[in-house]
Amino acid sequence: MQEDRDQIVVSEVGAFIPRKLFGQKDQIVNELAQAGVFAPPEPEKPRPEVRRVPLVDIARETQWLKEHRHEYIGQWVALDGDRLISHGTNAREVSEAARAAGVEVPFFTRIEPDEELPFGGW
Amino acid sequence: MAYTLTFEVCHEYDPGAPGITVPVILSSGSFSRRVEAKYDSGSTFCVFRRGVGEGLGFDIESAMQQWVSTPTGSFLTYGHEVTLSALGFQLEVVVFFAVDEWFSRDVLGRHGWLQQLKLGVVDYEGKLYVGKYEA
Repeated sequence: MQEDRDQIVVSEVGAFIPRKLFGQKDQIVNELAQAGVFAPPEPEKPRPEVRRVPLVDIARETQWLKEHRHEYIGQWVALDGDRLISHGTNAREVSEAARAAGVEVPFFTRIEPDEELPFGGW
Repeated sequence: MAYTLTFEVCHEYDPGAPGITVPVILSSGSFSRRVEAKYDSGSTFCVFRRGVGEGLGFDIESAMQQWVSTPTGSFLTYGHEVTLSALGFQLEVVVFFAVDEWFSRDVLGRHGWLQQLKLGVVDYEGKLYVGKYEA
């Protein structure tokens, strides 16, 4: 802490100028400038607009996964309700195939192995 | 002291399943895809598997790079702007796609989702209450 008392300290709450530097105008101004004290405050980012929309329904897809997941472990699948549109190991190709089939908002996932461990969070 | 919050949506999930699963629609340009994600208040960002981003037509490495840390290490992601709809609310946000193929989970985190909403969890009943955040 003794070291801090000999130096200009700029923190979130303000700036501390040690008495030892009083009268050293150029040094004080230079150090404060380097610390960004004279920079205009950053404008607050606008919050994203939040709109109400219908709930996302994946009930039939979830049921399909329960019944068929073991057949497609490690693959990407695109589903429309309980209908399998496309599948494979290349996500881009599976997605494109769903688009080509005319399905606007397919359910899209890679089927991971069944032995899912408890999630540790981050 | 008692506190009262009001919510517009109650999402019921399986409390016996690993994590709190939330149905999501991600959209970019002409692509829209329904996916399942885990609600994770411990995650700074919304992070999805690489293939989800590729399925939306993104060139994953063409955007903003972001390393993400975990208790066991870190992994690289890239952020892309999407329209995210979940639990009755839609917003334009940046979500991140993991570079590595081994990444096996999609999560809704704080930036881009949780910070725009207010949530209440009654995990024993498998209920997630959601409302729009009003400043």
